[in-house]
Amino acid sequence: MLQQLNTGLDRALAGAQRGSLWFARAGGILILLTVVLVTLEVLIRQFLGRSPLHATELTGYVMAISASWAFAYTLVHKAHIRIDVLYLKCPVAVRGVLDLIALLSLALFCVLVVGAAFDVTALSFNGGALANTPLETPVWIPQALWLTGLAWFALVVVLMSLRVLLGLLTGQIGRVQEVAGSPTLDEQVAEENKGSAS
Amino acid sequence: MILTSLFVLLVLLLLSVPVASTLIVLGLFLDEFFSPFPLINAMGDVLWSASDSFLLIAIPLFILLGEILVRTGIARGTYQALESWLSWLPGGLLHANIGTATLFSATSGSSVATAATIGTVAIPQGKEMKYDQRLFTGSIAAGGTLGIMIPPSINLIVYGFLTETSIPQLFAAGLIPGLLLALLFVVGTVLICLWRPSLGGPSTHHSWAQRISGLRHLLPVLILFGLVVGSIYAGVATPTEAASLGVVGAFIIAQFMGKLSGSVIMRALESTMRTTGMIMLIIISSYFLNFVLASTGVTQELTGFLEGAGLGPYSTLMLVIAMYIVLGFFIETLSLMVITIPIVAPIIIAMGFDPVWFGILLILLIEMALITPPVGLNLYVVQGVRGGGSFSDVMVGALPYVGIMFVMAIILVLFPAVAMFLPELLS
Repeated sequence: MLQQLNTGLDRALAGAQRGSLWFARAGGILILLTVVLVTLEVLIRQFLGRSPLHATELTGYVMAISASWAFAYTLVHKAHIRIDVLYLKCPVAVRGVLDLIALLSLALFCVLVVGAAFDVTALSFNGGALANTPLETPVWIPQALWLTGLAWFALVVVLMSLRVLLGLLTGQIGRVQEVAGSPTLDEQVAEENKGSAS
Repeated sequence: MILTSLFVLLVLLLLSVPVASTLIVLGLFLDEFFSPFPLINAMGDVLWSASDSFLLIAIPLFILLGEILVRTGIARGTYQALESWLSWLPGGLLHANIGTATLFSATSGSSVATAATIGTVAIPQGKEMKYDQRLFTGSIAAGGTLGIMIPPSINLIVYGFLTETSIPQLFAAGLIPGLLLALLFVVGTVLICLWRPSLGGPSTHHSWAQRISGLRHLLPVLILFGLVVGSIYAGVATPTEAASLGVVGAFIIAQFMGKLSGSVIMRALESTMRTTGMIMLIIISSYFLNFVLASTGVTQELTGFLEGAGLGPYSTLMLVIAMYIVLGFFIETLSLMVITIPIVAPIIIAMGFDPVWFGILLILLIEMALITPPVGLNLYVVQGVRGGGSFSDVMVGALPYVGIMFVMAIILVLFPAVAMFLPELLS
């Protein structure tokens, strides 16, 4: 039974990784659009003296949204920072438990943050809050997009926590390492090299 | 209260709990036990206002700029050009390492990226010419740290964001100390190689024709630096706008060099988002902790404690420097910054030190942390690029440069004008 659950979770995790990649790509494209918008604004302001684009306001929203859309992608790449000085000295089984604690702490983080973000968004929506800016954006729109990213992050954290918990229970320590282990230093360095060698 | 929170912080970090959740949990802990009213109710607003930031988006933009530049392969040309100008000095190629790092720092906001870029180009050449591996790799790791001192700098943006200090002022303040540090690296290397020539390698000479024709390889980097930093100080652009201009410039250069394609852009974006997610999760958590610390009065309590202890401003400063050097051995640098800045910066500023000046001193200490073992990210990056040999080579090779950074810290404390000259000129 546990074995079947493991296989199911593995499939769900693979889907979560693909989803996280697409969230990150979408966030990246938003950032590219921001580059275009901000550059245009600088140029227009230079030549006309003022700009009709309101890039400052929109860019702030893009920061919030694209960062929250990146959180899950960073997680599946094990790039959220953990201090692993002691971790690396521990036996493998202990590391597995530490990985579970790390994920559970992120789950707690998500419960609080998603809850708080939901409250803020709901309040803006119900109150019809408008941004105190020339665009008068209804604030709930960027907030809802931001909340979406946080909620997706929470979902991926929960999936990974379950997989690691089951992995520990069924003794698949290798798989636990694969899913949630602190990236070995070699891996980090390989990531850097991929960028600079090409 | 201070001791309890410190204890909680250390235990969680040592358990390898992710830094972002550690900060939030600590914030909640302080809220639960020490705040007269529940601060958690404000969490949503605090997180949203930290995230909705025109300033912070400069961070992904500078990361993206670096990602595109790295993928154009312009590092090789730059390295060869600087080698032809600098390798006659005792120490030869070592100076090309430092020079290229300095130049790349002027377009890159990150030390790790700078070290990885230089390492990839330099290390094969150093092996071929049979340089002593220790000082060779050490100079790359140390040179790479200039990336966060010479503007633009992601770490200075983080500092400015958390302490509400002007980013243009901070960038201006980083330029002279960054160049001076590079110069001290060169002088130190020359002295070491005069003392023990075997630690360096052969000096080589190049014709003036070669040198002059190599200069064109420096153009892309200098143009980008001019575009980014120039537009800020010409009053044309804010740091975020300057970063956008820089990204557009990098795209144009990459196109010009025939390296731009859909897949290159996609890879660069993915990589940018991975780093952005890592930095932002920590920053918003730190912003919440910052809010709790200020509301519960921990900061005032600490300041009062230090003042009550009769420590003068300079004794406190020495204490802070010592603390950063020690913590820098063990804690990854971005985490070190966001954990300590909310507590340390207000105290130092309350003692009468200038926030811009302290930002630069802090960045110097962070640079040191990047090359001090056991946790020194730049050491690992260089070792990784090297792909073999003993890690202690890099560690030992970086040591002289740690010493030089220490000298630089003393200079900064004795002569604050080194950092403050440009910002004061501009304001």
